[in-house]
Amino acid sequence: MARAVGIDLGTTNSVIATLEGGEPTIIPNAEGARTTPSVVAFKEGEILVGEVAKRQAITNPDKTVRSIKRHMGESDWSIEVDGKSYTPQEISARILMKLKRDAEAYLGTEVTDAVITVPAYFNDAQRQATKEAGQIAGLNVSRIINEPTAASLAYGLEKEGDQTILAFDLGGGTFDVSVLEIGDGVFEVKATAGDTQLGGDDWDQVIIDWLVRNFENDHGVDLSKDRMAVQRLKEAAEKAKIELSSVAETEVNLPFITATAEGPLHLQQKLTRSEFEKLSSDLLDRVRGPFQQAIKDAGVEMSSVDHVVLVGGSTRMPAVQELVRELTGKEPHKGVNPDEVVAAGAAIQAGVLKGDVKDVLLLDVTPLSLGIETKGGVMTKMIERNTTIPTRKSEIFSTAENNQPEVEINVLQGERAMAADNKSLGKFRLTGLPPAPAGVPQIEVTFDIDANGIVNVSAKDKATGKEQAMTITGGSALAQDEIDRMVKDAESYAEEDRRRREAVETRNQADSLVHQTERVLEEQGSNLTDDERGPIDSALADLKEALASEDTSTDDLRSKMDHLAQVSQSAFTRMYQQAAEQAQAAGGPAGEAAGNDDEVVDAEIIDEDES
Amino acid sequence: MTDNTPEQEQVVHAEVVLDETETQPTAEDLGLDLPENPDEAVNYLLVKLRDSRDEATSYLGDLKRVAADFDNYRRRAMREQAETTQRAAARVVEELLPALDTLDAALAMEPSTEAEEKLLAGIHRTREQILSILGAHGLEVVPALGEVFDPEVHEAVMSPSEGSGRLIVSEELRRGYRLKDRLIRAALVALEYEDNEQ
Repeated sequence: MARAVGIDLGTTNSVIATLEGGEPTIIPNAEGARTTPSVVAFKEGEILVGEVAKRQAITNPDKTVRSIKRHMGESDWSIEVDGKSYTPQEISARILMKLKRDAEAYLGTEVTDAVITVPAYFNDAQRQATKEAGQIAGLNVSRIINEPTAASLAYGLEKEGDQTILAFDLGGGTFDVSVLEIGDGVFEVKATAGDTQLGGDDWDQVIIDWLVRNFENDHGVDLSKDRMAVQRLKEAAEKAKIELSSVAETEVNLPFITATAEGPLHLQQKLTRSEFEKLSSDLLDRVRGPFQQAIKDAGVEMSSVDHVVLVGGSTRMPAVQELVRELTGKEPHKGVNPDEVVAAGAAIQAGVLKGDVKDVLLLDVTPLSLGIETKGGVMTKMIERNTTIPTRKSEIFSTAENNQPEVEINVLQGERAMAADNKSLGKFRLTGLPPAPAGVPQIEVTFDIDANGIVNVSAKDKATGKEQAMTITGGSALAQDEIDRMVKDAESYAEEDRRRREAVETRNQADSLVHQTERVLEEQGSNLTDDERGPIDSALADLKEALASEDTSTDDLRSKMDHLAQVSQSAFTRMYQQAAEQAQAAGGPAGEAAGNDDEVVDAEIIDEDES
Repeated sequence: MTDNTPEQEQVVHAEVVLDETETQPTAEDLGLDLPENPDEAVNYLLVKLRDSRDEATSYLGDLKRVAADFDNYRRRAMREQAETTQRAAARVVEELLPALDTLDAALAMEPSTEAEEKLLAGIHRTREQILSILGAHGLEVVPALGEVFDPEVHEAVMSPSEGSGRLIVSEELRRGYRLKDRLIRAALVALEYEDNEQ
């Protein structure tokens, strides 16, 4: 099924996204990266795109094209390679082709339609060139939209009526501020301003220079002359900058950074966030100018700006966010990954244009878990809360006692472990079960919720085909705050609930073990020697006594269970081996273990009615 | 096996069972304002039928699309699940790389005493040990020195001096690594044209 995508065709990096279940999803490239460098190179008759083109750029400067975006719309720009001439559109098309190809491989379907973003200040020729690039790449460009507009779409801002939005875009190498107005769902760019030479790389350089300076002061060695040292410094600086966005202090640790005649030298330097911000304050100041310019050109008051959105990885720096707060007096939107927000918005637009997002397909979820009461008074969940509906789930249950004639289905709603702590939506019984040992019957319980939230619960005995069902309509509707309270309760009681559930499960297991052991003894007991039988009988009696009392602790039950399992283990193993040998000797099929429980998927037990 | 006996004992809520008898629906049942005139009524119903069919076709199309999307998503989710463990390990290994770089830098030192020589030998063995353990998890060093330049795995940081022929790696500034056939870091290299070597 052909897909529509949104593409952020950036100066240094490009990102491609699509809608999955109505949510924008970034599509990784063939190398597994979520962004692709916007670099195209021609090498030995091959065309390289992305990271691989970047890696050989320095060896091939005449045939490697970076930042082609800066030339889009320039009718006189072209590059000549091996006798062939390429326009900016054709170069950009190569980037788009890689994005398209990799996306198709990842999604497993064709990618046909795309929305491509451009800076708000792009003129007609630049937009046209971008559209052409898409067409050359084999895409149907359903629309060209502005980057700040896309960012606003990613935050759903167009749903809020008429607004004024300020987009703050600080990427790897450029800074752009835009003021937009939305009216009747139409976006209009009121003003743009920026600095084409200001970006995250400049902040890295501040740290590198500082490290080099300190090192020279401490050791009298100029690291900038050492190629290997510079490389390590670059990586460490970028890493430190990123860390300082989330912690107040970081350490740059580069042992063996260089060597002198006296031996190796190590670089170890602590950097605090406040120190970093002091060092880079000039850079931050350069943001103020364009910002004021954009506001002035738009002819709006700062107070009339309704929303501020952040775009570009460098907006993660706390100092930048603080400055934005200071300049706008507002808390900026930053929930969506700033490196990906433009592509995400483009994908949303692409989805709308393709008709992907239709109201009729918007789905609901069940607000609380649904299940039934099982042995010991626990709630066994069948449908987890927040499951998208319509949905259907079946599970096989069985009986708790021997010759149990009926099972009661108590339909529960809630998040607590014990049935009594949840809400009962209703009860019904399935009767007429043929006599059978506990755990043998197969009762299939099915929960079916339709698109309107109506719950249908049925229980069917697979042996007789007898079935009983119950329909629950709006009676189970709960207000949001009640739902929240129930969820919160479950969280605060989580530990206690866990212990109670564990206690019940242990008790159930012990019960099972007793039944099982008794059955084997009944059927095969004669094959055991007195030496073997004795300990088993006494361990069994112990366990039964422990079970009979309500007060027995879980640990106590468990140890008695383990003891019984232990003493019966070797005896039963010996017995079965013997039987198998005999059967083989007799040329018949290997003896089957008594009580073939293999088919029961889930051997949880339903209690008889609780009186 | 499904011998559905009609006895419904102790029914709490009646279950809606499949209607055995098909009854003729009326205009009222379907909420239609049917014209009196039979010919008009037929035309009216034909229009309604067409509209209903169009709607059904549209819904069926949506259904198929969602089913297909889900199918693809499911297959991809399974694929990614298998990759997740690998990626978790890859992350740890990637984070260790700067430490490996430090060891490489240490080993680049020239020992001036015998004690230093012994120490460096020990560091060398330590590095070998680490690489061996990580190697068991799929870590491989990218061959660089002396190799023909391959931008898939080498990143050039210096422009070579004039020359002709192929580009050969003349210096390795930072080691490159592969983890189970996926490149996790390219080797940083300096290059020389093969006709310039020597």
